[in-house]
Amino acid sequence: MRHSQTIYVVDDDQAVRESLQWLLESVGLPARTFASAQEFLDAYQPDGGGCVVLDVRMPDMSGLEVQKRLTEMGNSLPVIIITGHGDVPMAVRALKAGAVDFIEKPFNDQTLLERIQECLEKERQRREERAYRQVLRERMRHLTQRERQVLDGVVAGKVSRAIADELGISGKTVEAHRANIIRKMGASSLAELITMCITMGLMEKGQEPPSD
Amino acid sequence: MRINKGAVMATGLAVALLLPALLSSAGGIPTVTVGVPAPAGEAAARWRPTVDYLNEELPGYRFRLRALAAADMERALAAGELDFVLTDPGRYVELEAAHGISRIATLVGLLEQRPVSLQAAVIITRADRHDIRTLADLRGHSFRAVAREAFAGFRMAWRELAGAGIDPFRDLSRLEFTGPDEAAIVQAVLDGAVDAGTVRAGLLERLIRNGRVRRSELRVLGARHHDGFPYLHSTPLYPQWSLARTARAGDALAAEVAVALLALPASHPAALQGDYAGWTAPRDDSAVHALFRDLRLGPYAGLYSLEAVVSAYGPWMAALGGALLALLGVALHMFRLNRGLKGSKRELEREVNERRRVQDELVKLSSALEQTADTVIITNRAGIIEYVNPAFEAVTGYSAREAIGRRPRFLKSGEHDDEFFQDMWRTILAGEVFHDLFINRRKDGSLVYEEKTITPLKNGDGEIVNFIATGKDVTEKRLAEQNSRQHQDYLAHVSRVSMMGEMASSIAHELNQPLAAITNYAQGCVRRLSSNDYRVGEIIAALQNISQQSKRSGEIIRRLRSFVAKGEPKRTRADINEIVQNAASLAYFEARKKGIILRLNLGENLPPVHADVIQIEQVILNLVRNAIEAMAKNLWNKRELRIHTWSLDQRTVEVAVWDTGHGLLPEDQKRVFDAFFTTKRDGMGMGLSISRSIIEAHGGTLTATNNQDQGATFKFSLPVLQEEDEVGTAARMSHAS
Repeated sequence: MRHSQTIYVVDDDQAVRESLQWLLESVGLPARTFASAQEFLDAYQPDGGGCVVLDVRMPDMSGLEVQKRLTEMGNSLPVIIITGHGDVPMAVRALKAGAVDFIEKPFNDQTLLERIQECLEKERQRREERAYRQVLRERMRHLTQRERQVLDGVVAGKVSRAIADELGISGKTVEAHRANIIRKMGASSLAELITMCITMGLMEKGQEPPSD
Repeated sequence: MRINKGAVMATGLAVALLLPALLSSAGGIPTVTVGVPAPAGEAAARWRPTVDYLNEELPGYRFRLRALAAADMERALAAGELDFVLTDPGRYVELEAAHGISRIATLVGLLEQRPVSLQAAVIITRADRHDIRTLADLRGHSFRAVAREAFAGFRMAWRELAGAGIDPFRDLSRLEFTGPDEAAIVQAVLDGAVDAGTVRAGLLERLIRNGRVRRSELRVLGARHHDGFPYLHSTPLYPQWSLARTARAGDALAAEVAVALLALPASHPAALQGDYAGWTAPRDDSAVHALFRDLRLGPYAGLYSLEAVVSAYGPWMAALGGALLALLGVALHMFRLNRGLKGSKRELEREVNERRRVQDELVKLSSALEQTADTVIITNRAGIIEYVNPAFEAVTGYSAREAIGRRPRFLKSGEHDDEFFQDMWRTILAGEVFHDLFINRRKDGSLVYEEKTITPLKNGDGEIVNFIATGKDVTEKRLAEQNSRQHQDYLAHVSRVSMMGEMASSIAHELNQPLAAITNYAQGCVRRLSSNDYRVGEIIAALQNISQQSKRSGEIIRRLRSFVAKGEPKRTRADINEIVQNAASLAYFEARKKGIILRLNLGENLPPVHADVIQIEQVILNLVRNAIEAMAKNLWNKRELRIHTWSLDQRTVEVAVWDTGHGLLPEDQKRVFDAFFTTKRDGMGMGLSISRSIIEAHGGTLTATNNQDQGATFKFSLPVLQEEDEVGTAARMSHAS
């Protein structure tokens, strides 16, 4: 997945942004540079993955604003704020507003690269999860009305008999529907189906399903 | 009977008069002889076309040219062989008197392509002959002219010499007549072969035009000016040559010839060949007569000459003369004695009065010298002090007794270099006045600043005999100026240091930028080199970037240091845009930190200013920081700061700092430049006051106005560098070294 991740370096100091790009490319991280936040927002495609490395003080737009705009664009690209010495209060505000990290300048390259790698890893995971959820939702669309009702019962933590009574069908029929659901959703067991439901946000973690 | 007799006589007379003409005529056409002065060949070539012209115009006569030397002409006239005579005005006066000739037309000559019917002569010497400045100075010197009898070639000059009291035949060391080559006379004067000479007016202009002579090499003695006669000349204007008729030419013929000549156009071959522009009615020749009278020449020769009187009336006078003369002698003697006595008395009275006047004058002068507040030193030509006044004693602490007999160099402070004094001596020895600020040392060792004027005093012969130096003590003024300047410079420096203190965090940021870039490049290199996956080219490029960024950090530090350095303030030729850029680079981070866009709008080809670069930078930085401050609370509108530079008239350059801040309150607008006035909680209130004093010390103005929509503009002007600024800077530097 790494190849689809780009680091967007936004800094109005040409030497700083170009040197950063050079450093990132030294460890095989593809980077693109922008002289202003607006320039970056104009060029950014929402489906691209990666992270933004942003100087906390840009004359035209603050880091906070960049984050807000990115969210408005329907993307949660993580933002790493680079701050100068003495800008810590500002960085804290950025963190509260959702920046994933901040690095104080002058920074140790090791620290910066580690933070970026971490950030990319998290972003990658998040993106994979998102894609997985998308797949599961797609599969769910193929469930029949009755199967949906049975799944709702399972998610609600009801035992097979309770579901059968509720729907006015036999326990055997409920069992058969459940097997179909597990197959259609691509799960190998009821336990996996439960995990999938948690992933899709249909149920809270720790909300254990009842065992028959 | 009487009538008849008269008629016979008239006829006889007519026959007698016409006979020579008729006899010399060929084929019945009467021959008319025109006499011109020799040399023959030259005269023939010059005048034949004119005679040919007359032959064409007046076919009823045969005109003949006869070139004659002066003596021959006189003989020919006496023998009645000539009808017309061409002659210079001098000869004319003589011939008119001796032979009754009369002018019918005056030649219009050509002087340097211009037609002139007048002529003059010029008397010249070398321009560097300081001993010959007037005609009177020619006494005892050598002189060169064309010929003794030449009118323009000598006699005109003779009259002027006589007027100056010089008899050229007696009072000159040498008088040479070298013939008609006048250019040779000019050359001889230039070569120093002869002290002075005379030539016709107009010749010098021709030689100058041909590049043979430079105007600056020659001095014209007794130069005169006459409107409409644009040639260098030393004499009155005399008429040009004239054509005169003799008694032999009849009235009708004379009239016909005159009309033909007056009608001759300047473009006619006769005029071109004759080197003249035409003929005009006879010009007034009273000047010529005046010359002859003055020089007792020609018709006036015998007038006052005792010899002439005696030879003419000798027998008559011989007897009477002795008695009369004796009587006259006694009377004359008495008269002279009387007059002499009266004269001596008058002379004595005059002298006594003069002495009294001079003495009064001296008393007045010396009491002025004694009482003036200005110092006065009088030295002899060698620079030895002969007099100092009491003000000198008071100012320097040296008594007159200590000063007199010494050279003023004992006052030297060492503040001036040798060149200063060399320049001074050069000036005053050349007879010119020297004026400058002198820094001398008093007897007690302290310095005294004097605005001195040294004037050479000359005697009647123009030789320098004394130098008089007057001085105005300006020490107090200088010290006060220096103190206030030092105080202002001190305040400016304190203000710069405190400003830098306030900006420390911004400056740390600015320094961090290149340092961060350097770290990134360096670490990138380390990683690539250790991974063995690299191209040499990209490593070199990164290293070059590192070195560039190191220079950038060095530059920031250098700017900082020079900004807060406690050096001597000095004004130099400076580019206002460069100053603005320097100040802007120091302010850049401050602006960035507050999210303010800083734009420069710099005029092109601005003239240089004469300014202390650091102080002007300080003013701009101060205005920029005020503007940033003013925009800090501006949350909703754009924050923009612009610095403009321009020059409207090439006499001043202007700098404006424009912001979108809160602007100035009307009641503050007047007070913003006052010391200690501030609207900021942590400000000293000194920035704008210092800024204004800096700008005003540079000869400019600093003003503040609110913008129409939002914010304020602070604007200052600086005068453009003048030539004397640079000279002044150079001079001060050379004096200081």
